[in-house]
Amino acid sequence: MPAEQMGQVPKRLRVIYAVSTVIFVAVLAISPIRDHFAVWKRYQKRYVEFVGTRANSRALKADFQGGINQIWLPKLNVTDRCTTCHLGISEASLLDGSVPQPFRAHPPIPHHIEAWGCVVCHRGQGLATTVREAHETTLAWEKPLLPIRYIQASCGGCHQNSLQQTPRLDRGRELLVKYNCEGCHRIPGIVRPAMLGPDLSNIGAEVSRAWIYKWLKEGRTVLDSSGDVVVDGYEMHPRMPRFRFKKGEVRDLSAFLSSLNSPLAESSKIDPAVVAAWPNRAALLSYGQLRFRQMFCTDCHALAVVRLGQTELIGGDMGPELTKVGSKVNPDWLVSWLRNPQAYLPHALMPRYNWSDKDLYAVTQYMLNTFTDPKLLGDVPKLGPTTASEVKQGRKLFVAKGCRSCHVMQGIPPQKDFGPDLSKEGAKTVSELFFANAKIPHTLTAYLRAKITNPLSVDPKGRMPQYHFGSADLNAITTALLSLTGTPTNPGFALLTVPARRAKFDPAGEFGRIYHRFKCFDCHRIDGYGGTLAPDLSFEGSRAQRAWLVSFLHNPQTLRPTLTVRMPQFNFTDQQANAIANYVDMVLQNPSINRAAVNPESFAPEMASFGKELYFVKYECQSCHTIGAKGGYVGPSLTNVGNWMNAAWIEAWLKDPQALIPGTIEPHRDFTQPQIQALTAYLLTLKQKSSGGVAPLPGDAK
Amino acid sequence: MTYPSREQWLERLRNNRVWKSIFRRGPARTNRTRSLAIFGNVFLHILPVKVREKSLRVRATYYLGPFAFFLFVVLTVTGILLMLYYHPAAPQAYYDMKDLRFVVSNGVLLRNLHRLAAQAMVVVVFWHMYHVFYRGGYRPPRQFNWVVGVGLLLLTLFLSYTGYLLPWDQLAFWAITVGTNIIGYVPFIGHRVRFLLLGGNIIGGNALLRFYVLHCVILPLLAAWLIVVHFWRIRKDGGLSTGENEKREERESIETTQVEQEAVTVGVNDERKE
Amino acid sequence: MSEKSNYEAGFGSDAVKDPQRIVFITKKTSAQVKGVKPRQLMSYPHLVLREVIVFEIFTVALVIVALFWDAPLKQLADPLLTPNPAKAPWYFLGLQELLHYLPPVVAGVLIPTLVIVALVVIPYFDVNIKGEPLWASNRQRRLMVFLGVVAALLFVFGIHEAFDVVIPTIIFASLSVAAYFAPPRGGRLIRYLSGRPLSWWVMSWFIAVSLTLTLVGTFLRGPGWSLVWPGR
Repeated sequence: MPAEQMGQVPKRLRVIYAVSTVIFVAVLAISPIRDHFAVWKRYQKRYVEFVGTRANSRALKADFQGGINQIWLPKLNVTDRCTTCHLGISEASLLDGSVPQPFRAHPPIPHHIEAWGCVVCHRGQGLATTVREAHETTLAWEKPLLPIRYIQASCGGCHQNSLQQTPRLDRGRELLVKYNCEGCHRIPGIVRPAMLGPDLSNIGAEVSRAWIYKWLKEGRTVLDSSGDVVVDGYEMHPRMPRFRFKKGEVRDLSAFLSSLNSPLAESSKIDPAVVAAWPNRAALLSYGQLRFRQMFCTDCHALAVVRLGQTELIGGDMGPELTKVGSKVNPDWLVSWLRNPQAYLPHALMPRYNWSDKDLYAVTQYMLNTFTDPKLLGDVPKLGPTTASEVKQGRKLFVAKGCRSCHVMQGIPPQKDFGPDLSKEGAKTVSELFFANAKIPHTLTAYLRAKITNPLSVDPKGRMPQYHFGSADLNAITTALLSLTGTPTNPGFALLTVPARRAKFDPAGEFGRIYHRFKCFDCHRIDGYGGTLAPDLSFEGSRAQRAWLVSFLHNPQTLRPTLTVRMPQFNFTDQQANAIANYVDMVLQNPSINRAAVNPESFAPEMASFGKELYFVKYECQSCHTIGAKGGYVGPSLTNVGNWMNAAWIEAWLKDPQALIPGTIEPHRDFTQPQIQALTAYLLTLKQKSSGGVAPLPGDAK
Repeated sequence: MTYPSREQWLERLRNNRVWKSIFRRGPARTNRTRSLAIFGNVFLHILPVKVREKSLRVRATYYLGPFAFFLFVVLTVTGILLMLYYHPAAPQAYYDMKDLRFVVSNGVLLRNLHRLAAQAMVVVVFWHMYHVFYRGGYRPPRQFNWVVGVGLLLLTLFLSYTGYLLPWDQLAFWAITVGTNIIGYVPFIGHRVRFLLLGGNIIGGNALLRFYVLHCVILPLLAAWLIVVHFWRIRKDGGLSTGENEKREERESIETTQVEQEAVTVGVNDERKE
Repeated sequence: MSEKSNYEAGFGSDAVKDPQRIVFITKKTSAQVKGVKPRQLMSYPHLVLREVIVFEIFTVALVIVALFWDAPLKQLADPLLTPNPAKAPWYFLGLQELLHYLPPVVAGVLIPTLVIVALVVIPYFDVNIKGEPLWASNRQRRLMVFLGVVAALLFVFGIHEAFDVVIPTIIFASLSVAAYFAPPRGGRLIRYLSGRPLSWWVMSWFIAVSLTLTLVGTFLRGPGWSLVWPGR
């Protein structure tokens, strides 16, 4: 090649060079241009336009700050850029529904947005500045925005106590307890009691194999809300859930359970003289019915009643429904059980009543002969004699199916954590979940809902039983589960956690024995522990006069005639009644009430008449309270309040009822001190003639 | 008023004193000045002054070597820009990725480009190696440059691998866990090497810092050094191999007398005196 | 140029200047070299301009892909949350796939070391400098050795059920044997294959195996390193 041609560049190459250079520069410019038209800039432009149409546009514009806005709280690990687009979030004037999103203001809440940011409660990716990535699940962020119907879960992450603003969360937490979720799952905040379902160690002595078969096979149709038998399943939500047993499994399990049949610890013998004393059967049953009613068994146990062709349940749900208990239990067992429930089930909630043989015989005969259904076990197949292999297989199944998670069984150690630990369920990421082939959005909330609705939908081999929840309860349970976010990883949050008060009220001594024997805590709450069926007794000593207490314990009469639930006749002995009264009088005091400070003797008669005028004329208390037969039924009867309450309590109560019992419906009036004294003086004059015939007890100072 | 033509304008520019102080050689219109343009330039003088036309053809090399080098350049540029936004600390490193994605101007492009170029470089370097192999480019006298190339291949893999940890996400963490576990299988010294690499027994802040220093300082310097050697050796080994191996039948170079078993190969001067 | 008298033979004094010619020198005769003066161009502007163009084209391609393909990013690293499967970067997935079949010392240490050593020593151990086809001479003996080696490989990987090594190996062995038995005037592919030297077969087999391993490891491996279909 000639030397002079060696450096000549063909024109084609020059053109390619020119073109490629132009394209090169153009392509490099794409990204800056794209950045210039970022989506958040469009939102900011729209916000400025929108604000211009508002009445207070000048103030709003002054608040507006362009560019990336962020709430940065290093202690909470919060970098929330949500306010880049949600520009009106703390503008009170933009709260109404006509303001288009994302510009609407946040509804007022106790927590200020500048102090907490957004994702602490709402989840989502606060760092993001694009719509999709801020709100949805992406590979880089698996905690999407929490649907607003579950938002109370976020309150529950820190507030382990119940809050006025979180009814859904509280309901969900209640349901978790009610359905014994802690039987199989570890759930923080729920202490696993020693016994969830009944102790089955001697179940063969209580019920027959056929009944067990029926129960296991059609749990739902023979269960009520407290986990005992009803025939037609009046209650929709049985406490024992429905397990997916196969026919052979039911056969084996029923064989195993019915083989557990050892002699009863408490005697089932009734004195033959008592039995012989009854002239005829009708008299026996009618007396049994009377005593059954007088004992207020229906406070805790329900009975199905047919009214106008409709079956309804009447009664409480603390104990099992008894409609067909006569066809369920072994008669000997029933006697033994009523004598001493704790001898059969050490953890039973049922109080140990002081029965006379006469009452016991009559009540059991009444129940066994009246509450029956001959067709109950009609569809149970012939099971034949129990074979050793069935028993062996049933025992294996008992363990394999996790029955021992809820049921105590002697010789088989109880099992904890049969199901997964739920301590951090609400903080799980999508990649930790298995959706099987479920056609649901791949999010934690959808997963939880699907799992609770139908466990098999997300795990075809799952062991979790089938529950039946309505939509509201599904939302509540999902909310409660979402609130289980585990120990906050950020120390800033760990300090903020508000623990629930869970101190167990457990008195010692004589009162303690009575308290446990009669299961006072089933219905009464003391110092935050116990049931809510009956009044809270934490300050009962400040309220009630000792003599009244003793007489009430002997013969409980309702103070609120409209309520069907009444305190049962426990047949307390004098000694027991006194022990209770002593304890209440000495310990269950409100420190702010000094009983000695108010002396009823000092009230002049004209004060009482002034008080009477206030009662009937000025404040019209009779619209809610009865005195004698007259008055309203909203509040308790005041017929005997002069014997019932302490003067100091009445004064304090009139001053501020909610200070003594938070949430009480008694209106808080601004009485003056003379008015309070006058009303107290009047109320103390309301005394009923002693009807129970209970004489003042020795040692009673008053 | 008449505007100066392009040629006149360029001429004026070139006669400017400042211009002349920078580019002393004048316009590259003669082979002499063209040569000066190469060896008068500190960067270009790694290139030969003349190249065979054959080796410039696309099919000869597919420009895989230059492609790999350009990727290295792109990686260096984007990498240095990324370093402006990056803290080699856990978990801040991860949040820096988020910042790059959401708030840094062109941050998305920067990271995408770096990641893409890194993946592409692994592919291109392998491809380059296979191509050189099939064309017989490793044959004498280029044996050593092949070895340098293998070194560059390993460095490319290490660079890509150390960079993999830096985003500090699940992908990074577990990929590096899997990889470094393999090192532990090396007999006798495996665990010590792994400990040295990670600055601990598990992947944590120390590992991140070490990978960062390896990725941003040590390995790039080594790679740059080997790249320079690689280029220099191309020139010193007589330019690009033109692929005799590929089209053996068209070879016009050698006519031998009998070839016997103990053949040896040497390079010879074929400069003819014409 | 084509006349014999123009040839010069002998050792060059400046081997580095233009050493692409290879001379075979025997004991009995002196070497003869037919020198060719290839067409040459000035590096500036020819080479420089081309490299700039190539740089621009490559960069444009990279930027365009980078504009539409986002670099992957998952959740914050969490040592307590092991993904299933945990995968290495894609270029090591071939190795990870081997680790699934073979003991770790072999797959993780021995084989990579051998591959690197093999790559390094290629230029020093390529004795077949002429690039003689594999089946050009010594055919039967070579076939025996070849089949023996293939059988050994298949046995080793077969007992570990490494299908993604076995399948490409079988394909390559079959092609090679086909080239052995092929008629001299077969189709284009057969002619091409019968012209390949041993080094070509070994390298191509290596590329095929490593590519298969990498692809299977990348796309076909799911939880517990089980085979899954991509996209599920």
